[in-house]
Amino acid sequence: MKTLRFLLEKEFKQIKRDRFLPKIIFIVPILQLLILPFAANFEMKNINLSIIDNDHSVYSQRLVNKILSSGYFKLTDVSSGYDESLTSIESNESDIIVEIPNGFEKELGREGKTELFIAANAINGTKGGLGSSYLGNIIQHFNNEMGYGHSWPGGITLRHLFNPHLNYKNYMVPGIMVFLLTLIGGFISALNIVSEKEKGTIEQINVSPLPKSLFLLSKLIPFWIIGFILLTIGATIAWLIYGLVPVGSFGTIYLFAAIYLIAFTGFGLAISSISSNQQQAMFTAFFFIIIFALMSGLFTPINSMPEWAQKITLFNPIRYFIEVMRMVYLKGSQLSDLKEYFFIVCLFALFFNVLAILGYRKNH
Amino acid sequence: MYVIETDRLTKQFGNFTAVDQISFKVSSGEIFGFLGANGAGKTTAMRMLCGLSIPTSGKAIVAGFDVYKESEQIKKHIGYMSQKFSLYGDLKVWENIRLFGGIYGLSRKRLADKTDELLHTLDLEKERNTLVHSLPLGWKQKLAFSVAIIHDPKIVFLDEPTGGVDPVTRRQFWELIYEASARDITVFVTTHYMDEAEYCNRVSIMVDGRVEALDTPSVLKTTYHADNMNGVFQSLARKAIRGE
Repeated sequence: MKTLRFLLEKEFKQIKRDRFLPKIIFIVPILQLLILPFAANFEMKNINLSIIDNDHSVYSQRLVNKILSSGYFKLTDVSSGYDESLTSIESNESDIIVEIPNGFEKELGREGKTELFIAANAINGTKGGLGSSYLGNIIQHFNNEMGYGHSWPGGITLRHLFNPHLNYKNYMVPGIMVFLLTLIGGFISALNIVSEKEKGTIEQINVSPLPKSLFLLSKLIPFWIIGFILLTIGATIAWLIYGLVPVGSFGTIYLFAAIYLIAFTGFGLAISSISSNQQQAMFTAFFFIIIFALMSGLFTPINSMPEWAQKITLFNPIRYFIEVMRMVYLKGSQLSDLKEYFFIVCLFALFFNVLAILGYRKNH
Repeated sequence: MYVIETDRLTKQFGNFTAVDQISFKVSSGEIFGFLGANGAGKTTAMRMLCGLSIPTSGKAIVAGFDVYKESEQIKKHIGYMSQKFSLYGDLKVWENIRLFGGIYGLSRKRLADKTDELLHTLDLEKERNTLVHSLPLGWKQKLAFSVAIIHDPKIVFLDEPTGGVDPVTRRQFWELIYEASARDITVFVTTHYMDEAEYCNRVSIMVDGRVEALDTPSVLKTTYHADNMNGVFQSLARKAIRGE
């Protein structure tokens, strides 16, 4: 235990004297949390609309106004014919064409129904898909207001649980906080031991009777503490900027973070002890973290992945912590609801750290 | 009493035999010079004795422990100074002393005394708070040596400790070696300087992974009809087939 204190003293002094590390540790989280939730946003606004109004009636004008006032669409083009409209899609000026047929008002008045033509540019599938479903909704509303037809007999009311305003940021911020801890735990620790190998200082450690586990522990603890500081900064930003406080308890979050940080620092240290130079370590860590991140449900829901991909995500530690963070932040889940998750994250922590100890050889 | 005994100790890297069946014994308190051209296998041999490298075959007992099974025991009783400077450059002089003293389990009180004593002998009192990477090479090497023997080991292994160091500092370095030897620390040292070989009690000369000669400098000089160790080395090293 006494030896550990000497080692920790060394690690903290080295981190403090590093010209790069302290800055990166604090700037990265702040930037990520300020920028990503706005940028990585699947809410579609500014869908460019090209309208062909062949009717020029009061009704058609009302429909157009209704569509534009929804806030999702931007009128970029008013054409007199479909071909002209298509050119604007081809030149990427519009995403969706709405064609109102001649006699729109008349037919609505006489038969109580009519047809509209919607064409969406599917190159950006999300924009096209979401755009047409927004349009569908708006037209539905329009119908109801005007007192025509119910294509949804009885009507469907949606109630969005836990994130009632469908605020995308509320969904992203807890996930990004997980990603932050992953970056610090995974990357910076991956570079640590291997840099001692490059400098040669590890020789002096390897030739001493210092137990491997103690040396690794002295590497793990500083990142663990830094991780807590980061989490706290993250939670503060989430509260100040996004007004987001967990419905559940901070205790649960910190408990999970504690284990998760051990797991991911172990991951980094394992890579570090296997690699022989920083390039190798960096590339290996990058490779895994990218896969982990893309398959974590941070950006794309796991439910919409193919079956086999969903199975792979079972081996992804990031996935579990992101789910936990979202559940605690948005649903207020308690530790007792998350027992299974807790167990799994503990397993990851054990696995990666055993790997690190086995991978670190004091002799060859 | 022997502190190092090897018997046909061998290390192979793939098809390449870096160290080829070397057998020798080193007595306690001896200053043992381990000579050889670049690539002769000195460093590999030394790393096996330190428990940093696992031998391919043969036997070796260091400080009474087996290199295969008890390498961590060996590490308690040896000091090692590698060819590449390996103290922490981003720690201060006193912090390096404190760290390694701590790793070898020196008590807090003993550490404080040892630090003062060490800085005094090395004449580094003024540099106590200097970051190690900004010290001149000669001072670094002297500091590294003192840190290597901070726990009063039975044996200290020095891998080309004076490479690139000026003659005056080399002289001072050898004074430190003699002091250590006087405290009954066995010194196992590799060098390329033949004048330094003369300072050793016994010298072994490695050629292409094998120990070709081993004796006191004076006997070696008589055997090989040479005026100095340089002559001895030249006549042996000429046989080498391996290049650099």
